Amino acid sequence: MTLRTSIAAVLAATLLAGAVPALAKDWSKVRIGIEGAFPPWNATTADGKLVGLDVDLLADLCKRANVQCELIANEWTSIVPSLQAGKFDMVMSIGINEARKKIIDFTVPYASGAAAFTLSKDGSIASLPMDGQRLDLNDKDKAAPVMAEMRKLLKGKTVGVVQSTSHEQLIRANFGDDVTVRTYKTSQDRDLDLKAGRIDIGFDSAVYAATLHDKPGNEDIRIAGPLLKGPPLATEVAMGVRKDDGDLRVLFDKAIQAAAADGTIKTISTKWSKIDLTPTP
Amino acid sequence: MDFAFLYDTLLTLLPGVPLTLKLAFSAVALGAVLALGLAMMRLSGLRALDWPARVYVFLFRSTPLLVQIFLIYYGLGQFREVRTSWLWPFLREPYWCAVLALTLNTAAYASEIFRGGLLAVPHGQVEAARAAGMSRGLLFRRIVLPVAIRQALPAYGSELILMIKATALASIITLMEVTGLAAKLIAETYRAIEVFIVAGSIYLVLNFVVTRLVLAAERRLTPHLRPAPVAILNDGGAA
Repeated sequence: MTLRTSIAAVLAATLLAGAVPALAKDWSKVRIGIEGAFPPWNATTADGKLVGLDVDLLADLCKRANVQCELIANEWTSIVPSLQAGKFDMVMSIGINEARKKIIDFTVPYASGAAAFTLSKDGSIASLPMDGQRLDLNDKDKAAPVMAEMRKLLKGKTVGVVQSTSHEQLIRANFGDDVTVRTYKTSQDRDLDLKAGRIDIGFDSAVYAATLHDKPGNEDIRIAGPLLKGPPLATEVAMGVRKDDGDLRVLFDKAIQAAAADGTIKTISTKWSKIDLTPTP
Repeated sequence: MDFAFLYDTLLTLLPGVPLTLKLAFSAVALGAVLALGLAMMRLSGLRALDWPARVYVFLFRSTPLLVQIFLIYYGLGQFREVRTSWLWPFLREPYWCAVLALTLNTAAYASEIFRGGLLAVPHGQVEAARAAGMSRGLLFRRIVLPVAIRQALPAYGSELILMIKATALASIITLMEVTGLAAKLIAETYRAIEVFIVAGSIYLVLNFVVTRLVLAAERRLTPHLRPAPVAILNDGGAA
């Protein structure tokens, strides 16, 4: 090989490399941002490994989409700014809502959940109505009296939620004037304060609340009251993607639909959350 | 740059300033008292006082403030004994936990600054005061302490600035001071750069005022280092 041909080869390679991104991004490798602190969706083990429903499902989805996925752990409050800054290409487990739709795009939902309250055993609230029953906030005739009763029960209490979640929005919208809302960086921080009695009640995803009791140290916390669904709650959980990466979104839309159809999502969600979370089409 | 958004951000973050200042001032005031005590223990020449102070300073200077705040707030709350004790009405509140952590932390640093200041008091001045018949208490109050404060002031000024900035860590225990509000706003708007620029500017202004105050105090305490008034100099020159 002469010097001239190698220069030509380098030039050709440079030209090609420059030309490809202009046409479409190469999605053979996809970097996915994940909180790693929201069990059972995603969690970090003591030796730093990411596990959970999201992780199992991603392994399946990435195989279906025929892409190599790299999971990158990122703190929740900065996960969307990091997506936009290009630190990763997609983010895992975001509840779909209108405010977020303005900023980023979503895949079709890969799970359909609910939200629920948590109480501490020796806390200041003994019980709530409609334990464990589903309540759709769109069904106003049914929801209004229950929410009115909840409002009375929560008057003057302190409610703990994770900052800037749809759970915070619901509490502020429904009980805002009557309760003190305290916001936390993670669900675990809030649970510590619930156990310590600094707050009276927690509000979080039903999946999180349902599996909480089984974890060591959480024997005194239990799920209570109705399993809520409907606006402003973002119970439909999807993957977030930058607005200009439509091709990547379509790739995962197809993978999610296939995984929902053949029962993979049912198997994985039941394994991790004890609830079938397969999204309704 | 979206100036309308920057202005809105400023209006959102400014309500956090009183809490930031309250945290910083409470911690600095309480910390200074504790620090003086620790510095005196270190200089007492008594092992029983010297060593506890050494251990305290070592512990609080060698662990991150973030960890200290976390342990005091979330850690202590896990013990039933703490939750049923008379301390719980205080430790239950994130505000008092933050004040406690900041106070204990600044006391460790400030005690070393004060110790340096006390050691730097010229021996001749102490001897002169003794020769003039001052009692130990009077000597400390009138000679040693003022001179020590003067010597310690530049280093202590830095500690004050650090404390203003350290209040930002209170946001991790749910306090909505400037950084807490900024984090909330970022989570709502996803506009981290603009919000942090405004938050940073607020700390800049606060610390500008603090540095000016420290400089003014330094000037007031060092009249002997200033050049003599010009008129006298001229008189001297004419002679």
